[in-house]
Amino acid sequence: MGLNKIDANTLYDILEAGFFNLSIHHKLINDLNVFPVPDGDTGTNMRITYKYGMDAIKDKTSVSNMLNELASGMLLGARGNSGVLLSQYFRGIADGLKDKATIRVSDLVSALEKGYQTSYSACEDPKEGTILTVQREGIENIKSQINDKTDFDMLFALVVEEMRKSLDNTPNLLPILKESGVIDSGGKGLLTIFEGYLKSIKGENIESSLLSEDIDGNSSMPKSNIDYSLFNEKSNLDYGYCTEFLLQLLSSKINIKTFNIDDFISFLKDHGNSIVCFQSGTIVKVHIHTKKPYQVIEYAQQFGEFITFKMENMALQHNNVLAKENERKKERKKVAIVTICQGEGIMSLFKELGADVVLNGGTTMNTSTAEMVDAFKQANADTIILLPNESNILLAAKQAKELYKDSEIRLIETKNIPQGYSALSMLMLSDNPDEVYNSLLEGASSVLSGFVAQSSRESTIQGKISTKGSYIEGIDDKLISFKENRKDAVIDLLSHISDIKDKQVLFLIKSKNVPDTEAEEVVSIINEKYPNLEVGLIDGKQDIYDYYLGVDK
Amino acid sequence: MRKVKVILDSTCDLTPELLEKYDIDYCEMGVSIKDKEYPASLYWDKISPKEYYDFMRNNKNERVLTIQVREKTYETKFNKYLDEDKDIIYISCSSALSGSINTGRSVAKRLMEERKGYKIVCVDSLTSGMNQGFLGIAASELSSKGKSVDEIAKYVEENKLKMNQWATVGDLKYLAKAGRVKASAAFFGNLFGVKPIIISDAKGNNFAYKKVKGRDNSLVEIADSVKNNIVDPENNFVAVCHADCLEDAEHLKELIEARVKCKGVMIMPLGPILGASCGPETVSAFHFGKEVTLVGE
Repeated sequence: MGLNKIDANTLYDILEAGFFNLSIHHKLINDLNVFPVPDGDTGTNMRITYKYGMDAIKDKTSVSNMLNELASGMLLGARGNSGVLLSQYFRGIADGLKDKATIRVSDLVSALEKGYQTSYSACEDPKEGTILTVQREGIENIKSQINDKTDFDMLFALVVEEMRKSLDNTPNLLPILKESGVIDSGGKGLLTIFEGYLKSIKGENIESSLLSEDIDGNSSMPKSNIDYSLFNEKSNLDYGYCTEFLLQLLSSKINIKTFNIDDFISFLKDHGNSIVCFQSGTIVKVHIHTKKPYQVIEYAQQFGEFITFKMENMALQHNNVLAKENERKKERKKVAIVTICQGEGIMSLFKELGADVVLNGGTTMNTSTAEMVDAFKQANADTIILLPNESNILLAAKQAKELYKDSEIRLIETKNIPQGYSALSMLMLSDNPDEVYNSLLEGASSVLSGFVAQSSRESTIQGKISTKGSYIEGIDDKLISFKENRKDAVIDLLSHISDIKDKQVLFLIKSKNVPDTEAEEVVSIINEKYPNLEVGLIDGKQDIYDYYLGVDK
Repeated sequence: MRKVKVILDSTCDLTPELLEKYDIDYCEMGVSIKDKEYPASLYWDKISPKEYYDFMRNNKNERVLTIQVREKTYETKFNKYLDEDKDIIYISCSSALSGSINTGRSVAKRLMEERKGYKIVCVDSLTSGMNQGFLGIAASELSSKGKSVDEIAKYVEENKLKMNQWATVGDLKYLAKAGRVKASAAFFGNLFGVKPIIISDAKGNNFAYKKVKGRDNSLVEIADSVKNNIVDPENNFVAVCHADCLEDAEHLKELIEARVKCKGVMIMPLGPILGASCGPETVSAFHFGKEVTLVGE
C-alpha cells in the first residue's frame, strides 16, 4: 500500500516537484505554440504563474493555508491565458480542500473536479481542445476507477495517464492544432506539472542538473526601472541586501546525506531576516535580507557552489517603493487609461495619444495580472480604462479587474496593437468616464487589423505549406496567406481585405527590422494601387511583427 | 441720421459678388510665404484659390504665416467712409484668433477724436469665416433699412453667438503648425484617418470638440450638426466653404439638402487667412442657429 494521506510537508514537496518539472520543460512547451510566429510563451507564462504561487507560500504547516497562498499567488502572478486558467484551477483545488489538515485520495478527487469547474467558469466561452479539456478529462474520465483501495501513487498515475491521452486528442478538438501539427501547449504545461507530482510521490528525484539557470523566472520578467540615484554618497545601509541564491550541494565538499537544512537555517537566522530557505534534492534555495552578505556566502560555500546568485541593495528597493508611493500620492484623476504594448515607437505614441500608464508587454506581450494591478495603482484614478491590446492576456486583464478594488476598472477587450492604436486615436479626454470609454470603444471597434510576420517554422496556411522564414499574413488572428518577400506580403494582405477599394484609411506600424526605405516603398505602392486610401506610416519599432496594419471597417 | 458703412476683414470670406451686393468693404490682412508678404485678398486677384492651396499641398514644410490688419489699412478704410459722411460698424474676426480688433479700436478712437460727431463702432464677432460674413450681411441689411450704427451694433452683439460653425480638415498637420485651434495635444498626435469637428466656441476660439473616423463620416457629421442646430432654416442660408475641394463641398451640400430644407446652400472658397490655418481640403459649414454655449478647455 502506497501513500494514502498527504500532510503539509509532503504536499509542499509535491507542489515544488511540479514547479521543477515545469521549469525544466518550459521551453519545449513554448515551442508548441500554434502561431508560427515566434511569440510562443505558454511554458514561460505558466512557469512564472506557478512561481508566483510558490513564492506566496508562507505557511508550510497547514494544507489548506498552503494551497490558499499558492492559489492567491498564482492569481496575482497569472500571465497569459494558460497562466490564468492554471491559477483558476488551483483556486478551485484550494477551495475544494478548505479546512483540510491532511488530504485523502477522495478529497483530492473532488478538489480536482472543483478545480476544472472553476477554470471553466472563468471563461465566457470555454474552448475544448485546450488546457480546460485536459483539466476536466484528467479527473472526470478516471473518477469511476477510484475506490477505497486507491492510493496517491495510483491516483496520480491515473491522472497523468489520462491527461496525456486527453492532450494527444486535443488536435481532434481544435482544428488549428491539427493544421499546425501540434498538441495544445497549455495542456502540455499542465501535464508536465502533474508528471512532476507523480515523480515526487514515487520518490523519484527530478534531475536537478536539467534545471535551467534562470530558475527564478527573473530573466523573463520585465526589469523594473530602478532609480540608482536613490542610493547615493549620503545614504546609509539601513536595510541591507536582498540576497537570493540556489546552492548546489557538492559531495566533493560534504557528505550530502548528513547535510542538515535546519542548522543551515539557524545560521541564516543569526545573520539576517525575511528568510526563505528550503532544500529540494541536492539543491538549497536561499532568500535572506542581510547587511553582511559575505558571511552568508562564505558559510554557504562550505557546502557547495552557487547555481544562481542575485543580490540587491534593499535601500534602493525601499527608496524605490517610497518614490512609487509618492508618485501615487499625486492628485487622483477622475479617469485614467492604462494600456499595454511593445516597441519604443508604439509606447511613446500611445503616451502621446493620451494613455496615462503604458506598460511594456515585452516581446511576447505576456503581462501578468500583478503588473496590471501595479499599473492601476500608478494610474491612481476613480475610473481606469484598460486596453490590453493582446488576446492572450484578456483573461489576465479580467482577473486584474476583479482583483483591484480601489478604482472602477473598465476593460475594453482590444486584442492587438492596431485596435489599441485605433481606440486611442479616437480618445476624447474628459472627466466623464462614459465619454472617455465610449470614444475608445468606438475607435477599437471601427478597425480591421492585420499583420505580417516572419515564420519561425514550417506550417500549413490555408492548405499550403509555408517554409520557415517566409512572411505570414494575418487578418485579426487568422492566418490568411504567406509570401517569400516581406513587401509582397503586405501588398498581398491588402488584396485579401474585402472591399478594400471602398476603404478610406490605412495605417501601417512597422517594426525595427523594417528599413524606412522599404516601408516608404510599400506606402507608395499602396498609394498607387488604392488611390482611395489615406495611408499613414508609424515607426512602431516593435520586435516580432514586422508590420501591423489597420483599415477602417 | 448718417448712413452706416459695414466693414469686415479678411477672415469674413465673402465673395466679390456678395461684397458688392451688400455694399460691404473689408480691411485686408496679409499672408507671408518664405518671408514675402501678400495681401489676403477676397478678390483672389493675384492668386487663385487653386494656386494658393496647391502651393500649400506642394510645400508641406513651408508654413504660411498670417499678418493682422495694419494700422495704416484701418486708417485708410475708416477715413474713406468718414469722408463719405458715413458712420462705421467694423465687425472683426474673433479676438481669440486675431489681434486686429485692438488696432482697429485704437485707430477708431483716434479718428473719432479727430472728427467729432462721427461714430466708428468696433464689434468683436467672436467668430470668423462666413459667420462673420453673415453678420456683415445682416448689418448691411439693417443699414439699408436706415438703422443707426448703435442699433446695428446691438443686433450684432445679440446674435453673434448664434452663428454656428462645423468644420473639418484634410490633414491635422496644418492645424498643429498654426496652433489656432484649441484641443488637447493628443488631438495633434499621429492620428491617421481621424477627423476633428471644429466649432467656434462661446469665447471665440476654434475648438476641436469631436473626433470622427474618416473623411466621409466627417462630412455626414457636419450635415447632421447643421440639421440639429439650424434655426428658422426656410429663411436662412447655409454657407459651405472649401479649401479647394469642390467635390467634397458639393457632396456636403447634398447631404445638408437631404436633411434640412433651408433657403439655400451656397458654396464658396475658404479665404486665405482661414485656409492658412486649416490647410487644403478643409470644409466648413456656417449658419445661423442655436446659441453656442460650449467653451473648449
